[in-house]
Amino acid sequence: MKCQKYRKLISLYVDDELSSVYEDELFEHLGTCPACKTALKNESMLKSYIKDSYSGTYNVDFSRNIMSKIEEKNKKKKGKFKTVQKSKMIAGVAVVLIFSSMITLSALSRVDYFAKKDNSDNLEKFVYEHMDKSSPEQQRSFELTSVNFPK
Amino acid sequence: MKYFVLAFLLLIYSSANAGFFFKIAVDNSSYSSFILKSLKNTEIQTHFIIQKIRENYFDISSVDKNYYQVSIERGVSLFNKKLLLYELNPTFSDRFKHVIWVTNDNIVVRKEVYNLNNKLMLSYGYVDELPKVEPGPPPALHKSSGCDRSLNFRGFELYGCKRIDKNTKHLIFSDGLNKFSVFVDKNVEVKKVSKKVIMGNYVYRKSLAGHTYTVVGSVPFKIMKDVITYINNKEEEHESNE
Repeated sequence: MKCQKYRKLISLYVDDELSSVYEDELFEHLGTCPACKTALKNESMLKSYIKDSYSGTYNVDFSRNIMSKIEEKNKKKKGKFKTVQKSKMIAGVAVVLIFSSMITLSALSRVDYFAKKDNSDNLEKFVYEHMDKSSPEQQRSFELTSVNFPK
Repeated sequence: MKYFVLAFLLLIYSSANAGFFFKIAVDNSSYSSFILKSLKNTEIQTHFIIQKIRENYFDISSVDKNYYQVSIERGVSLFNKKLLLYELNPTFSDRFKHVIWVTNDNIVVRKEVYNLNNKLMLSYGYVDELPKVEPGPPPALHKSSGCDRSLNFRGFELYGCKRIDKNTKHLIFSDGLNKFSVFVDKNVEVKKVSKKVIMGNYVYRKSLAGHTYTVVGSVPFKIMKDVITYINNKEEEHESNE
């Protein structure tokens, strides 16, 4: 029920019709609700698609801008940490990143499609990007390549 | 969003002669609808997506009657033309229902796809008139010579296969009407099973035997799960033969 209310706010936000009071409330909710976050991403992506069919350019930054805005809001909340704690955290994250990148190097190009710590499955990203990859031009070469299945 | 779509529709109506509508289940709970005045420009993302989903031709002979109950209504009038209306209901609960309006030349004028709960997954068609469309062969997928032709799951045959990269391959299955893609990612595992509706398709992801399978298409989740098991067994068979 709670999400239903926010879905309406998302629709208004995408149409630039949401007042700043509700905008803050919406972004607070988006920080804690992956389902609504995805809904916002989908809505903004669709709006971009529709807009672009008339502007003649494809702007992927619209949804990205919104996502960075959400992250910004989340960052503000975390501003209570002291600078020393932040630098320690950054150092820790850097170490973890180096190790994890070494381990996952072989599958680096694919790994972002799969489950992450925040439980998101990135299926939307997967579908949108694979739609792009199977363009009509690529489909022509599609049938010429083989897969290692038994003959 | 709805105001935007309404404004968009008005804009199109005021400037377009022949339009093409599209309604799609964006996710589990919402739809998006829009009308395009032309489908020619495939460089543009919206058009591009529609080109991917839309089918220009439909030939009833390509449908396996073992898997569908077909009803045909002749002489349906639309845009001052007499059309054929096909309703293809799955015989078993293993694929989606299609309702298709076609001309005598097999040109699709309107199409609707429903899931097993009769929820609309997507629909598209011409808005106010049927433009002159050159009759031609149906855009049937041609069976790839490099694919394993023996792969057949409940009437879904393997029509295309491609290696995306070293660890990933993409398989396309079709029964002549419903289709689904299977992406096999080797040596990647996800902890949970995912089920979603995305852009008019069901999407199911599951890991099995150390690989991750993502199925996208117009079949129920239960079938997607079974096809993963089927492909995985075939893979294991293949590996043990080597």
